Amino acid sequence: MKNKKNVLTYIVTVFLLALVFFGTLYAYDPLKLFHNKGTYKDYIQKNMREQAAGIINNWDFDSITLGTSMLENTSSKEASEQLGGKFVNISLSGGNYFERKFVLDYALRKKELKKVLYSLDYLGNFSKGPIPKWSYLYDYNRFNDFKAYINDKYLKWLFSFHTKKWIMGRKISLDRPNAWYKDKLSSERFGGLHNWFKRKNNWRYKMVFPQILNSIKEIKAGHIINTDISEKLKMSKNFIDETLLSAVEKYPETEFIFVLPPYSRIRYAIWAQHDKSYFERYKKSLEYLVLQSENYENMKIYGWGTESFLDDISNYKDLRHYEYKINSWMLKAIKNNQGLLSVENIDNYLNQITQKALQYDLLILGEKIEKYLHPEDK
Amino acid sequence: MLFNSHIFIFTFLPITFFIYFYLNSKRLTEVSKAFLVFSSLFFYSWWNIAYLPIILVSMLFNYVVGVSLSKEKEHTKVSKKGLLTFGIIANVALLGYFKYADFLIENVNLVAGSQVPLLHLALPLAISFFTFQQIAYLVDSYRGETKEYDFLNYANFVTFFPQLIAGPIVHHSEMMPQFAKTRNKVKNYRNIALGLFIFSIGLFKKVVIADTFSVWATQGFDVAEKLNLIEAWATSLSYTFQLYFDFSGYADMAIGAALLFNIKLPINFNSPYKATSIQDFWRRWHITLSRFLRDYVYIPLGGNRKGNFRTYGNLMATFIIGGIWHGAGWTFIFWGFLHGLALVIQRAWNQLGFKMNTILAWFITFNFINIAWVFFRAKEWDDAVKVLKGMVDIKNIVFTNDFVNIYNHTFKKLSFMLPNISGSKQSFMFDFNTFFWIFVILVIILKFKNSNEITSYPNLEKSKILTKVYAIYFAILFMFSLLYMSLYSYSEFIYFNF
Repeated sequence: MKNKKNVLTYIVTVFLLALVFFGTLYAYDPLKLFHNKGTYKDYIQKNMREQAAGIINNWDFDSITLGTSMLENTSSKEASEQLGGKFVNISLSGGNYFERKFVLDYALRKKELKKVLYSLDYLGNFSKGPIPKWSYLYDYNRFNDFKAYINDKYLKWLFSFHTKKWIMGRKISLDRPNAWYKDKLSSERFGGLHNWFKRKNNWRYKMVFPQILNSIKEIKAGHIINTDISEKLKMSKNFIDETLLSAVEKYPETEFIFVLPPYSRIRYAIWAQHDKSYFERYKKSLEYLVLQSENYENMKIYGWGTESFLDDISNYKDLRHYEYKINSWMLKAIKNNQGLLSVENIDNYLNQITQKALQYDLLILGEKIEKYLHPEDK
Repeated sequence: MLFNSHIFIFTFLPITFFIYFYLNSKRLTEVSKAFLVFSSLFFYSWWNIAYLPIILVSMLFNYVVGVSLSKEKEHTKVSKKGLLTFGIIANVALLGYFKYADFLIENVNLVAGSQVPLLHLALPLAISFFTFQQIAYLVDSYRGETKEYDFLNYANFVTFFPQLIAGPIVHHSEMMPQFAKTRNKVKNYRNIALGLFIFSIGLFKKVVIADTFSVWATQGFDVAEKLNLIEAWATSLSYTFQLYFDFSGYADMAIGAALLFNIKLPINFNSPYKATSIQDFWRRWHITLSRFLRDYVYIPLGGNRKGNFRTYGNLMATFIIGGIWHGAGWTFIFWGFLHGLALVIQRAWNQLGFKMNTILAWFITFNFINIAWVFFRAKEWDDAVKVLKGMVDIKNIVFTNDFVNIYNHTFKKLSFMLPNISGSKQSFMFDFNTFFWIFVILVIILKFKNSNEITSYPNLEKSKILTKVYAIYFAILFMFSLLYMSLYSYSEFIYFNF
């Protein structure tokens, strides 16, 4: 009897300790996976790959912006005003299609979404990659969500006497929680090429400048990438089916708004003049997607590659990232069906972006960069 | 399935436990035994089901040979000897094929300049353990010392999951009677309580202590290109402690898990680093391997019965075999050679009637063991040389800044006689924690009771820890270990590789 009590004491203690442990995690719940209540109500974390699960679980909304850094500056308030519905922005910085699929599928499963605003970054360039470490947050098992807190970062703080404020994240509206346009490092780079030069030691520019110069060098040397794309295009189409169209088909009540981020003309020019294979894949993938959109009433694709603002480098902080005002402009354009791509206009659209990309004089840009980086050579 | 995994602790172990005792409570004794064998084979197959046929064939073969050997009248003495020889050769051949074939080919290629391709065979898990256990069974069957021939009992003796993967190397005479004993078919709460307590200690040893030291040992052995004196000692001591807590932690978990089923596994460790001689060390370290080597290698070779030189030769041979058993590599052989040599020297020392101060004897023994482990751990000779070179490089003493700060602000203030030291760089590998924990663990190892002493295992009736306070204490230990386990990825036990 005595030993039975010892066994029971052991088991009960383990159980109580587990209760205290999981209870504490549940109570604090820095990612708001289980509730959005208490002292730290509305506090969220920066890492949207994890945080999106908490937002989907415990916030009230009926529409999502699920982009990348291309849509992080898109205001949910504006989106709701322009497009209707109640938006939240859960864009994943640098998120690829495969990662976003976990979040998208989960959001569609958990909520009756009215609208999904989704960016088509680098269309045609798909990769599955390994299953993300945080994918368990988007499965059917809620209990395994505790795993998100079983790490140095959270445990050390939640079970210490430190103030919990730091670890609980920041209280921020879900209008555009990870908007980067206010960051000084980003904002000061808009306004023209001279502002890119100011940041030439920034790691991004350490990549961007050689990338541009290298492409120009290759173009001059006649080394154009122009390989057979049939295999990759096939994979791309499969990926579009699995990642995007499957969701469109499964949720006919949800309106899917796919937008092609309006990268700077330089980006298109490098593709068109140097990496012809990728540009071809991009165009063919887009063509395929537009063709498929005819089958679904709940799907629209927008592209603004023909707009003149793409030619103005002052709208960009690098080859791709545009000013937040353009995010607002995009919402208005969607509302007005400006840039809506269809079977009727896709050929014309693709021709136009190709022409503009081919006409863009990369050599002049290259000379400017060379002159700035190596003034002693000139 | 690792003992230090959630799937084992929260799924496999409780399910096996409850079904086993449920079947017994319904008097389905044979079914319960079969279930335990099935569970153990499932546990074994969890890693790789491809290994399953090997253990099944090995088990069936040895059972059939063992039964044949034990039937005295049906064989003449000569044919029995032939059968035993065949049985042993078959076992050694199986082990040799999987474990030593590539090592042999490599060395033949090196000597003969040939280009025989390597086989690149994956080593089936636990093969060294179950092969040795079954060789012992065959030898004892030949000697007429086996009594139990029920196949399910035999299968449980070989496959019983707590001891299957990395020992202790159990002897049929201590296992099969336990599986046959009727009283062991009923839940015993004293055993369950102590089993849980011992398992908790083992889990703590493994996931908290051993895995912490493993980070530092890996840094020093596998990552660093060069080590200074302090780093080299930190590396070797880290491995010395990692190995002990890893393996003895495993043994404790095995003992704890087995005790839940009313099975007492033999003790495998008894504070080995308290040893004051190398002979003493081998009475305390991997006791069941020492027992096997003594009974089935050293004594059959003649032991100490054939004169001094023969005894020395037997000792060397036994320990070199012990080295080879651990792995196919010259570093393991050299490690075995070093221990054999140390035993020979100690034996000669004793015969000459010399005595040594106990503290000095401990110091020499501990350092010898620590240095020998360098060869045991090193993947290549170069790694061993790198660490040993650092350990004697007294010109290259580099104190980390952390260490200097602590020293100057604490110890130095205690005495004006202590010299000033200055740090010349920040170590990338070791911080103050490394040295602090090496010191703390050394004190614990030398001054505190080991897990068997704490729990009075195997004399459980004498145990004084069967109280609620201890139950709470061990539950906290268990939860703390679980937390640690959850924080870091599961790591295998070192002896899974042998």
